[in-house]
Amino acid sequence: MARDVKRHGFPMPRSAFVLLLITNVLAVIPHLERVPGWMLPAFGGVLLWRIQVFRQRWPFPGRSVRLLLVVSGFAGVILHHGTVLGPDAGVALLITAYLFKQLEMVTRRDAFLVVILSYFVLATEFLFSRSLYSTLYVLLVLVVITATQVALNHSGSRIAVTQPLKVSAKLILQSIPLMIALFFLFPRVGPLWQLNLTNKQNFIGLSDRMSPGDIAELSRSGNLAFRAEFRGDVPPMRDRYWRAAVFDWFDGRTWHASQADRFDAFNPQDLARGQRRYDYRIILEPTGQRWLMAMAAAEVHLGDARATGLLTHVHKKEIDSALSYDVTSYPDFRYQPDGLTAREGMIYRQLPATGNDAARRHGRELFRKAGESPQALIESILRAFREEEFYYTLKPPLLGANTVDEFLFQTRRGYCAHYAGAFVFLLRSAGIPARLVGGYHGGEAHPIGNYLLVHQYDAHAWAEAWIAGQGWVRVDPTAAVAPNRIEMGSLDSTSDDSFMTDSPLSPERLRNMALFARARLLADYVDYLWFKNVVSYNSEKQNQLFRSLLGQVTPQRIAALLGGVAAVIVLILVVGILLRHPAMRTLDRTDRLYLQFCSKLARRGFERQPGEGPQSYADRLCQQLPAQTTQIRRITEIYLTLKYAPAVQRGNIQQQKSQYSGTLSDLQKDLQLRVRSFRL
Amino acid sequence: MSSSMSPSSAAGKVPRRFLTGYIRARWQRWLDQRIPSTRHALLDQRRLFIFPTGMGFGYLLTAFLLFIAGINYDNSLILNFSFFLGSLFVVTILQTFSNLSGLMIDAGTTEPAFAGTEAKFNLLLAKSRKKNHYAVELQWHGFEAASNNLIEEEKIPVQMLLKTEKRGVFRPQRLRITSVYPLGIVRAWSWIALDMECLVYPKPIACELQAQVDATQADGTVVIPEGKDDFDGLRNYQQTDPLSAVDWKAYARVGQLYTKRFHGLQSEARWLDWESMPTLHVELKLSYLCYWVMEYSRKNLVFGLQLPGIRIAPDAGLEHQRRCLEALARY
Repeated sequence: MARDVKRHGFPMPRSAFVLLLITNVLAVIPHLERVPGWMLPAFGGVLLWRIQVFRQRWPFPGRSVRLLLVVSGFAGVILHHGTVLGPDAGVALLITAYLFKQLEMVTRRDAFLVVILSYFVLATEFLFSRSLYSTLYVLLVLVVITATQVALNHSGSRIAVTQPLKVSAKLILQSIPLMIALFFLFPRVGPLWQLNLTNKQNFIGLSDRMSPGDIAELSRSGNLAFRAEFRGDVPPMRDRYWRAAVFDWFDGRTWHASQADRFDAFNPQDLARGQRRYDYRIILEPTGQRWLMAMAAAEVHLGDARATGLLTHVHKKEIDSALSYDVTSYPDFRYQPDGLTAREGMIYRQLPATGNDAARRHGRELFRKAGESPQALIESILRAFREEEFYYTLKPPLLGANTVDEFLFQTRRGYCAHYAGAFVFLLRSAGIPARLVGGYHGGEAHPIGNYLLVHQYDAHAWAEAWIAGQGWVRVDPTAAVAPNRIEMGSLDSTSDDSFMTDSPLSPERLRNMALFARARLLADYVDYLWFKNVVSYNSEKQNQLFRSLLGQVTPQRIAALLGGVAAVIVLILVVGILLRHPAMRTLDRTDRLYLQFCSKLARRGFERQPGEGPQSYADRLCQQLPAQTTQIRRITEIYLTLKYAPAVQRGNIQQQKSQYSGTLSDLQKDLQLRVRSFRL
Repeated sequence: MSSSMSPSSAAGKVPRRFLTGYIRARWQRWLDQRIPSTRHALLDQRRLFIFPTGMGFGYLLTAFLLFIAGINYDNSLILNFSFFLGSLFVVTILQTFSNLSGLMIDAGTTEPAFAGTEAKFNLLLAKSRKKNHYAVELQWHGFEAASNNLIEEEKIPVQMLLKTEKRGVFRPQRLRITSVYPLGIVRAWSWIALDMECLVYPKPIACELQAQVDATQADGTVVIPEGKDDFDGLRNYQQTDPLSAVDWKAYARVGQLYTKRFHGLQSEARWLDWESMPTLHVELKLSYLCYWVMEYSRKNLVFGLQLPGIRIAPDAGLEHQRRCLEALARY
């Protein structure tokens, strides 16, 4: 027997085993996209082995085999991720341990450990996604995990799988009120120690350099970049330039983000704000970068944000979890109209020492033709883009060593980064300060909430030129080539097949289907509310809540509030679970009616004695209440017939007595009528 | 936990240390006041105790680790996960408690046993309300009954086989009734002192015995198995038996019909005498006597039993055997 346990594990109830398997699969599914690829077959193999062990076909693997599996599993994870740190590698290690613990699940204790590991595997899902839908999924898996635990502790081995599931669902429903109270009222404290979680490879979005291909890559991603929720009107398309970073240094191939934001502080005297303003809140998805998106010229109301002299804003540290912040933007601004410093003048005229000679000559020549006027030069470049054979495409041909030359004079096919980059190059060749700006353009207006959805495919690059007296002026050369791109947003501007090719099942593919689009937007809106009210609930919001509930916030008051609410919930649970009289609930309708009859009599002092049967009770009542004899006798008779007479006899009674004709439910109705009308 | 806190091990042993002995005595006294001995116990608030199991502490540790993770990763959903585990724990305490509360235990019959064998103690588990009880485990005097469910059945009988050690009246210590249902993270239990006892006969040990014949009592030499002279014992009533032979007193006592059996006299009336046992050790004497009582009864011989202060007249049959064994057990 002991040997058998060692070979096949303790006699786990079948329902527990089935539920444990479902738990395993459900807990791991959301992680499959980020764990090393070999894990999927390994997972299948381990489950197969465990099933065979359960069926007593195979024994548990031996000690050395297990050791080999675990060591190679961990080694595989470390080779794949190159580290054991960070959420991805951590989760992969956790899942490896979870996986191989299956092959060691000998005792009841081991099974419990697998349940505990399931909790961890499930909870780590929140490191990657915090949407409402992930949360609902986690809740669903929790029901299965809890059911597994119920089945493990159930003594009958032949119970159906549904029974523990019902018990578990009941337990979870009963737990939710207290959980909600703790969520909102349990005092939030700051991190106990600093974690550096950033894993830049994970984030899709702008990076700190822009070379041909980068934005085209983003255009294939339907991921959300951020949401902007407006108080007041949503700005028109031409104002929706979400500035993230300035790229000012060109190495002949790649534009690099300015390092100036590390030391050039914003000087408010350089900026003249216009009248118009937009007030809004940005809810930014994790980027792994420090940039904060906003429409220029912006004021970002966030303690950890810093304004730079480039009219951009940077966060104190890399944004590795969703972040929300309030912004005020003044679209009609003038910035540095009075002149640039000598250093700035040098930076924004920088060009590599060699290369792209044709473009340099072309820039100087255009400038000369435009009569040395910067505005006229800009006009002539844009006219060329518009009228000559330039095409907008997300799949441009590859460029060689002199990217700008080849683009301007040979391929003439490209997208925003090509046009904006070439434009800045031409201006700088003519000696006019210019720079490349990266960010997003557009956004999809949400019909329900007053907000915009900005996706990765809205990533955009445009240019800024400095003109004396006007300061920095935004020029979007892409608008000249593909005006739609600017007026309508990225999705409508191109019928290019390359758009979104990476995700054949992407919702964006189905955008034209009106119903689907509505459903998608509704789903996003619900998720948005979830994020706004639940996920982003932090100590700051908790303080606001405490202030509104308590007036003055003191630790004693917080403790009293939390304790009071928790006590009320627990009290309700105690009443519901312990003091409930299930006997009353399980009574059938006939019994309830009869008890109703008894309590009517009891109110008048004719209580039914304990142990007194309905017949002797009726006998006693008839002596004490001669006037009601007929009623009492009949009610008792019907009750006894419904309750105790065998079916055949009931049929006979129905036949014999005309007033009882019809089915049993008629008999019950008759009883109901008589009990209701019974008066003393 | 069960072994260290079980009161049964305290019985009859000299406490290893004064302090633990003192604490056990205090605990036993408190328990006796709180849950007095009874034939019929209803598990309610007074009688039920509750505490997390080892797995329960593991579960709480999980909740705590997730709480720390939620704080440090500034992730309100992971934080909420730990709140969920905490809330589920609270609900589980109530549900585990509720699973045992309302359960009734009735003391049933017992059957005597020889020292060193197992005595049968019959119990009845019953619902007091229309409420199900799952995975109820009983531990008593080192015996663990398989866990029971009360779902459809109103009551179920449970037979406990308790190991006996010493001759005499056996009164086991408290019965421990436990359940960890539904999640196994909290244990609810109670210690019930059931008013149940059984006789433990001495352990039969064989020995040589020279037959002693009391000649003055001899009436004849031939045994007539179905004679009418002397009462032999009782056997189960059969339909062909004459009604005059039915033992009506036994019927009144037990509620079952028995027929009296008689046999003719036997030439030798054997005496099992305390003094003639070939040892001076009291328990060994009793064991020898027990062996011979069993042996003579098996052979259906007439014999008497002579103990210091007790004399059982020569007789035969099951009732006589029972009387003799009881005398030995209670000596």
